[in-house]
Amino acid sequence: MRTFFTLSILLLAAAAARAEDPLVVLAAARTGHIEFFDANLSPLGAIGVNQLVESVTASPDGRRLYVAQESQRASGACCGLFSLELDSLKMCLLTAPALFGAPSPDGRFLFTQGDRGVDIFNARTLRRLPTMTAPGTYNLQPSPNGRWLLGVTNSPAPSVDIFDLQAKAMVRRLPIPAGPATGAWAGDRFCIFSYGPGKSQLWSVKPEDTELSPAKPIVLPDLHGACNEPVLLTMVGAADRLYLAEAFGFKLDRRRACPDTPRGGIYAINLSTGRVDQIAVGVRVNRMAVTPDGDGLYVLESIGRSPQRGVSLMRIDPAKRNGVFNSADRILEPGDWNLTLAHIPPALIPRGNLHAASSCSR
Amino acid sequence: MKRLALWLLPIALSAGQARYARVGDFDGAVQVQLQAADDWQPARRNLPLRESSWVRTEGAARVEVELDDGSVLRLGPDSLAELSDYTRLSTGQRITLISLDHGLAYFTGAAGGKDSLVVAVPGAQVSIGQGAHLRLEARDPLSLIAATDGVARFSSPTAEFDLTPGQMVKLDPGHPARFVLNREIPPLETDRWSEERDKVLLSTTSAAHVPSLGYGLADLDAYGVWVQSADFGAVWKPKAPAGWAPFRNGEWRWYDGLGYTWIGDDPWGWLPYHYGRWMQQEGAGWTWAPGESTVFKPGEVYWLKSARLVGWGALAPGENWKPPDQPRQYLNANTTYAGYTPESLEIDPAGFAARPRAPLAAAVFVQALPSPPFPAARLDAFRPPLRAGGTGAVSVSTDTAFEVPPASQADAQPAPAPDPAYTNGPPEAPPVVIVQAPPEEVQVPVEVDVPVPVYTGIIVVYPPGYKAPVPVSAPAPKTPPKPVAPPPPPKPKLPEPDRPVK
Repeated sequence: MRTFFTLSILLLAAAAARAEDPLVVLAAARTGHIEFFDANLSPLGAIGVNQLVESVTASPDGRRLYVAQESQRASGACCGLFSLELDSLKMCLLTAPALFGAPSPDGRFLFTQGDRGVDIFNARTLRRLPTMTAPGTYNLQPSPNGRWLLGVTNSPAPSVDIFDLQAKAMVRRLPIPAGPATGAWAGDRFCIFSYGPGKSQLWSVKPEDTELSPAKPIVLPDLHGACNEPVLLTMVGAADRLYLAEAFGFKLDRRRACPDTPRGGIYAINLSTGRVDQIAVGVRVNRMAVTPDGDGLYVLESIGRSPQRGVSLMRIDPAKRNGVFNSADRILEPGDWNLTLAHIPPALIPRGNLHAASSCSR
Repeated sequence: MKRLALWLLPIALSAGQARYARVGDFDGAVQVQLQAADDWQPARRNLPLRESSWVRTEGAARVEVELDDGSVLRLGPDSLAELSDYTRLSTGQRITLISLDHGLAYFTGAAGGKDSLVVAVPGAQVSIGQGAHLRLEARDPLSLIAATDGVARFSSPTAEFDLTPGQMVKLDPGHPARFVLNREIPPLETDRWSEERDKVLLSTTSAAHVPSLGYGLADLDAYGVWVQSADFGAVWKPKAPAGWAPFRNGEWRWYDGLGYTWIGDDPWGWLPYHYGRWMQQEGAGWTWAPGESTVFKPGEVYWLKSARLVGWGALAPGENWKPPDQPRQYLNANTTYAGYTPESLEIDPAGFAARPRAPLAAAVFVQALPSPPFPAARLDAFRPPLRAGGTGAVSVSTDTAFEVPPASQADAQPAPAPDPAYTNGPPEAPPVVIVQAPPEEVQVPVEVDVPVPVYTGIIVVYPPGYKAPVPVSAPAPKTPPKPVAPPPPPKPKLPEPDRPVK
């Protein structure tokens, strides 16, 4: 146990040092390229990869990306999970099929959904470790200290499943009494949210909990309104805040059936005060990413303010409860994009358009 | 473990070409900031401006900025504007958004094809379609937009309508529900300057020879003549003294994404240094062949380099030069030299006296100069947000939504009032003036044929009593479907034998 904590502390210290590297915003186009922007959304460079990019995440040290994209090992379709080393631009296939890679914040592990549970890799050697068998299909959320992995699943019933990364096994399942539910880390607490007309609920979970504590009610407007269509909800967390938004630009998109009803915007939930504010009114969120301190909220907007404008990438300053578009707004090619944040050493940030074109043998 | 060889073919990136605007005519103290981390620098004619550039005037100064689509922005005294969006998509579509933070601006332009052309002031914006001449003022506290010619689409948080010639809208960004539509435009002293500049730019005859480019043309009329060449059709010959050579009067400046870029001191030095090629013909001297490419180039030259010296000269039309070959037009007399420091962001030939007598003995040809180191500090630089274009924050709950245990004194304090500069607040009343009802505009969602994957955490919330659409041929369900999670990702299958990926 002592060894584990000592190692964790050392790794977290290393991760903290990496956080001094500049913040880089990565927008990955499904058509096969990853664009790098600085915190102001000025373009830095781009890396071309294969098509059907499903997701991109970055290792905590910023030296490697995990890209889920097309792979013949996934029957020629989506997706295989690849590592992409930023210093050499070499890509290695880690596993297929897989839709994402979730690195642990301490840099030790990489997780993805497998057919029998959670597949786990040693993030330094990229060697596969024994699968943590589990019955769900998860939204996987490693804890900030790297000790736990929490997975929220809604099938067959809503629950949060807790994985102990020291034992490398699922240790508890906490049923969620209302669903569907989604979850996010906000600082060192894990929050689970479930929307209901007139009564949304928020649970705070500690990995050591054996049952859910009573839910806190959240007052939100009626998101459905007069539109009898499903609402997609996405949530990110940081420090003491959660950001919740209706998601647009997916196959389910209420604008088709009810062009006038969706309000757009983001609901900022202050976990310390309980205050809920709507910010960035009118912005049709597709995806969100937030810095750990919660002060940098980056949003992919579906279409933007005009149908001609494609996809818009913007930075919103939640501290001022204000969307600052003009100084941090970037129009991307129309299409499907993914968004992630990373701290990348300056020497590894691509300048100009590069290609991941090398071979890899493992 | 069996070795797996994975081959990834290079994929052409679909990003569009970068766009650059030109600092044209200016008078007085004008400064530019190309990106957040840069210091403000004095403007100079022919300086390329890229997206996110800020331009400001002090005192009575004024400046003209020419855009690649032929649009022109003019800033009057004490003004600040940003080239907020200045993008070309891979479809060729140009996206332009200009924000006036404060001061006075004139804008003349038209959006071609599917281009998007928008000018914003605090509290409102105008979209330009067929063409318009606009005067915009961002004062404290009012914003004013006047259409002197053409039609532009005005939009604010509470209204949207066509602004027609002779109309002027006056609004207070802090109270967007109230604005005034004036039927006449009070003249300003600077109106005449803008009108005269419009006439000069529109009367150019050089446009006939360079039909695909829309800026920097009027200077070609004023500072040179077009002559017919046997091989290249109409070529342009500057009025220049004997011994003059292109790429001699000016300096190179480093631009990320472009490299060392020539800033010509010649008043006409925009198009001839960033498009086409120069050629030297016996008896005719140096002439510029515009070519057909519309891609902005930093300056097409050959480079000679030694440890402390660089030299350069114009490449000939059609020349596909690769070092170490000698460029077609290389002559010592055609080459301009400057001192070289590896990490310098500027290369200035002015006053350089150590011109080599035998340059090929001292230097070698190179395709391009090495990049200076990347200034990592610029990644952390932030600018203050502009007033134009901010969106409002509307609080949907002024009370605590759930009970939390009392914490510190600071937590008990009411939340600070939002910054009035960026907050519109809730609409107070219907607009005072509505010229015409905004048209029904249905946004067409980008349809992405993928479900919402579970791993994103995005959940599907069904409305009460929701009945999912049922195919005609399928039997109707006996009970409404329960809310369920989106479909799971594809069931993982056993991997196929290792083989290269295309």
